[in-house]
Amino acid sequence: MLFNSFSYLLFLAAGAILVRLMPPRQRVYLMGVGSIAFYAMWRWEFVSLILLSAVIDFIAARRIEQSTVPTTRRAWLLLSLCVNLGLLVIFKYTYFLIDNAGLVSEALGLGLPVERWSAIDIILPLGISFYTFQTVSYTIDAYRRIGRTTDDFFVFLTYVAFWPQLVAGPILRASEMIPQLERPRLATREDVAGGLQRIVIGLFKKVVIADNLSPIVDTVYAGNVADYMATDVWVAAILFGFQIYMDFSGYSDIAIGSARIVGVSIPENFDWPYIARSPRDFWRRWHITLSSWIRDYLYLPLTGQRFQTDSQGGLEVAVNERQRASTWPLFLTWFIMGLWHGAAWRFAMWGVYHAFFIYLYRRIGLLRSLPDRWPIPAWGLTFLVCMLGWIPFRAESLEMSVVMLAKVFNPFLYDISRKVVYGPHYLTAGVVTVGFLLAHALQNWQPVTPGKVQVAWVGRMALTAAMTAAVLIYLKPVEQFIYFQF
Amino acid sequence: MASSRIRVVGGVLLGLILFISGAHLTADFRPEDAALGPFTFSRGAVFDGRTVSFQNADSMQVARDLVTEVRREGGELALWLGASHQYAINGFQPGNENAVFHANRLARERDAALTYLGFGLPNGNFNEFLATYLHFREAKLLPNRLIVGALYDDLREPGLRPRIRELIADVPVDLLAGLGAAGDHLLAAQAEAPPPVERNAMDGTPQQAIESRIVGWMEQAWAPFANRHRLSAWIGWRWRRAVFDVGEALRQVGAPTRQVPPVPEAMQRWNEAAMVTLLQLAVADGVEVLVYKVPHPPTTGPFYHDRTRYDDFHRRLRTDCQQMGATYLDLEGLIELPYWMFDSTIDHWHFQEPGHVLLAEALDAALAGGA
Repeated sequence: MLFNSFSYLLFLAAGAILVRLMPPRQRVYLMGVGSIAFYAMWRWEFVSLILLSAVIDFIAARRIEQSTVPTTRRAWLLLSLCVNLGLLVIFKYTYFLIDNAGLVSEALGLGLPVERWSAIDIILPLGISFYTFQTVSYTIDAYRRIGRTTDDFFVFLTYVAFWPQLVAGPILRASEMIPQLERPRLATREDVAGGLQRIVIGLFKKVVIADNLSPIVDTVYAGNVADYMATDVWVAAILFGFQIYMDFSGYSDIAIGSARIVGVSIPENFDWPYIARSPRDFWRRWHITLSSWIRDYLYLPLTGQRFQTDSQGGLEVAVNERQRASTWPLFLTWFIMGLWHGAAWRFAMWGVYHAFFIYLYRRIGLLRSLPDRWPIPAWGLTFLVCMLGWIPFRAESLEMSVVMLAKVFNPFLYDISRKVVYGPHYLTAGVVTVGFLLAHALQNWQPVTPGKVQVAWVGRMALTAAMTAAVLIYLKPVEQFIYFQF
Repeated sequence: MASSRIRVVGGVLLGLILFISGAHLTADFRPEDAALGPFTFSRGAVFDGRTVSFQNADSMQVARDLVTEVRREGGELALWLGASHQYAINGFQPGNENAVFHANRLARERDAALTYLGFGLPNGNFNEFLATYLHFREAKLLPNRLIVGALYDDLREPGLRPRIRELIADVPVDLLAGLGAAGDHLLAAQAEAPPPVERNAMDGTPQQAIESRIVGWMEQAWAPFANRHRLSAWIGWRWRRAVFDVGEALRQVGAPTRQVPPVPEAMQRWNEAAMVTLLQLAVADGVEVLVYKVPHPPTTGPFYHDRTRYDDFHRRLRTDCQQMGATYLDLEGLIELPYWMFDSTIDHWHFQEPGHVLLAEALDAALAGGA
């Protein structure tokens, strides 16, 4: 089900009222059934996949927790990983593997029946990348003896399929969710108001900003990029950077607000990423639950360091004295993270691009000290680095990414009088950037004098009014969320 | 805490009021007119109870029916192809009529059995004019006279818009192939597949069915909701105007004179091939062809395009017309300055109603004179 629709708002309102009317025990059942119904509104036949993952991981985690025999524990963990990751690979990476097998077959003259394999029709289940990570983390945590498993299958199923975050995160940890589901609380009036505010903000980001940037971005990336100037490439990067940020963070806002309205607290996923002062800082602020997951279940184990156990912090906790030893895990982790985003080499390129800059900042003392010594240049450099990284993410192909990125490093292409991209798009890129910075400044403005407090109160109410009106004007479920494709 | 709840709920309610007010205030907003400037309105024309002026290939069946009816009456039909100067009236006042209406009025006043059928396309290019002519030709509805308003702008607007592409869907491939370079371009446009429909995660799902019902009910039951598309169009228009104005202001800082966008050579050849082919085809069909140079406002200030290139193009076009037996009419200077109204940086092309009258008089006089 798409969030940016009237049917979702009705679903949420009805669900919130019913949850309030239910006794505590039945609330989680209602949320579980509602979550399955939410997913079935897309395709009921794929509900079976979620149920399969949930059943296997519920049983596996219980067996792991109850057993003291290492081989038995490992066997159940392997079963869980094989089933979950196997399903993910089949549904998400089959075509990618076939395409690459075709390239290898052609290069080596193997004569593989690639065309026949490509005729297989596979639909990517919505949210599989997200709920797979959640179920896998549950069994791994059981293996690591972090927290305890639940003996209530319905609680576990609701944790896996909880509708606000089911299709595009935030990626939840069992330790954060299951206690809330085992002892569900009623949402307070502050929760309802706060959740409503969050939903308004999220819908505004998505349907007003992201969806209006989308046709501009599509036009820019559909142009003949070989003719572009370097300035055109920067505009393309910034426009998509803000489109994907508004789209994805808007989704997370709606998810967090929806959960809050039914009395559940789920973690933040974005923290103003474009004010970051270093690539690592960026990854503390962008898709926080994913980078934290990657940190705990991939990166730290590869470096041999102690894992963390929460969904926050991103990559912050890389330990300094182990940095040299963590270089190859850094690149491998980001390579995998890139591929998680999409089954194409340009996504892997995007991942390695970020790993490279994180590595640079580790190795070069001047860069490492930049955020503290010169915060504004540090911000500027990080902003440009992160925006440029979106080129391979959005470009139609790896080749197109390379062509565009190469232009940025050609000083002779910085001639705005020869720009190809439509002039007003430059202005739009500037406006969204300045708008973002202003919004951050407003968010952080905490007045203390009574007069200014009143002004802030009225101003925030006026902003809510403007956003609500804009949402009502633009709300239509035409543009799906970008992260749905992952 | 209570104050934050009040702030949120109050904000949402206020937003609802804003939405309702905005939808009410923009209920009469016409996006198609807004694009032409605040005082310019595109207008069709009805003469003698018959629609005679069409825009953007709407109501093709009505247009074809008009041709059939005129033929049945034994009258003559002049198919007039042009861009927005044909139907857009600057400084519009209630009761104003466009050039097509006035041309029909003038023909009636001199008792000529001649009906003008105006077919205007916003920024229409010559390939689109050729496609339109082929459509009528294929429907066996050839006009007696063909009038083409030739503008330099036409050379810079690329492609066939989808509605015009549909007009040549039934034109035989071998006919197009026999039209040389222009035909090749139209063949390519004919073969062009519609852009792939972006599959939305909601397409074909139960949610889509429910959403359609909810939205349909809201549009019927709540007038502001039904009008929100006009409100969003108004917002989009104001944003584009603001962006355009800021861009112009910045351009003035950097470079006081407007920089003329270049016309790619391939596009020039593409358009000129279509123009020549249109002339050749119509003349070979026995249609009397009149091509006119659309007048500019008589100002020496910075303009939309390079006047030297425009005049060069029209010199070549005049020669082509003379060689092919078509009439070329230079209407430069026809419409005096007061009949133009520079209310915006967008509108340098549309004249007020007296200008439409002058245009109609010039064309009707040319046709009446046996052109």
